[in-house]
Amino acid sequence: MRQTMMTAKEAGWLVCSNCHKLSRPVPHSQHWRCPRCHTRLHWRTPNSLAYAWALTLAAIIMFIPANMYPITHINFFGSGQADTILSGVIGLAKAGMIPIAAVVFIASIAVPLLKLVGLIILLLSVQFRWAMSMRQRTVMYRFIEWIGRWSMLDLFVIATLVALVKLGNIATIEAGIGASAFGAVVVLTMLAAHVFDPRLMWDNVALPEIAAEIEED
Amino acid sequence: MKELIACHECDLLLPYKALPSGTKACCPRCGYQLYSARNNSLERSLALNITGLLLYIPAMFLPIMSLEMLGQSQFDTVFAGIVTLFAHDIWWAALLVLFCSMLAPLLKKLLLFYVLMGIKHSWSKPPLAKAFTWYQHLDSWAMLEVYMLGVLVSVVKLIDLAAIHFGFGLGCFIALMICAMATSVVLDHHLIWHKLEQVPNQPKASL
Ligand SMILES: [Zn+2]
Ligand SMILES: [Zn+2]
Repeated sequence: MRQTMMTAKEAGWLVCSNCHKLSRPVPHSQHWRCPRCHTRLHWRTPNSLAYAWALTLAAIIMFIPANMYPITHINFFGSGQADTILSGVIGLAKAGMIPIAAVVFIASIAVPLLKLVGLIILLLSVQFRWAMSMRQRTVMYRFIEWIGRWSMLDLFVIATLVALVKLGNIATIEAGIGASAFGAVVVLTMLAAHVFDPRLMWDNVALPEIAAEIEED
Repeated sequence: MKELIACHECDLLLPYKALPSGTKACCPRCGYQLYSARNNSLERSLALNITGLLLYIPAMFLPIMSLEMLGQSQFDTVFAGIVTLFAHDIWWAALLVLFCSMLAPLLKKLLLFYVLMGIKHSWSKPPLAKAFTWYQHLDSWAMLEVYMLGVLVSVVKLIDLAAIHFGFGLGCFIALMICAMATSVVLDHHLIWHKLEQVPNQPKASL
């Protein structure tokens, strides 16, 4: 049987955010729960936009100390050097390690920045119902969701370095407060992408007039 | 009644259809991957899960590499790196690394083991559903492969300053990472929830 396209909400189905089961809302009740996994059910994640905005703004604020304060203090033969994210990348590039400098630059500077800009564009587009290409928005949303974890790279590098390099007076590497601020940026942007309900982007878009059939890949 | 499903990303309502094994179903509106069909998904997930659990302790507590600099040598484990971060009072970053590289992967493995065994032996449903819910929440916080890239970057940073030797722990860690990645490919969430629905609310009386 074929049927024309319809969203679950239009058809009166609640979708469980956890196990994706469809169920009918119980009349005369405000608190619906999924019959399969007992998760609270909503038509759309409540206050999704407000939470996503709050988390994104907090991430933008933390982005400043993350880039201004040193993330590592290196002690080598008595001479100390404090590195911020950017000076660390420049140091790597100057030492001729271009590929690794590129990896760290992408993971620690480009990706967090792109994520913040992407989140702001997504949130603005939903908030003000911008007529943006759905394809662009979907790609942007999936990119933000997928890339988030890779920003943790710099923290893992620091964790490995401080453990590895602690050779008495010869050399030590210590982590700085910039590292904590950077960690906060990563967590906050991941949470922002998590609370953002992608169905909000699609709710303003008309459904095409063709039959809905699952595509095999 | 025909089983219906909805796309989790764009809310499109779709009729469920069984797929030939090895293929996956995508949403025609937004392209989101809805579910996939794989042979023996449960058995293969369980096998990978047990392998991962066995690899976990050596991967975390055996030296991943040693560093030799001016005659002094130092070798370290994943665990020691986190302890050192705590000792430096940057507990925020330390907690994050501890959670993403050690706790989340371990919890995920234990929860999945419990869920898979529970489905096999029909244990009671509510705690199993809760456990799989937690498993899904932890999914994006277990970052073994990112940690691995972090180790690689540190090696390249130090390669001019010191001689680096790789330890047995590194091999275990890589194997653990591959297990985790394979599990996420093999595991079919749609199937797990479907099976969980059939598990009785009360455990079957043991024989
Ligand atoms: Zn549910
Ligand atoms: Zn869709």
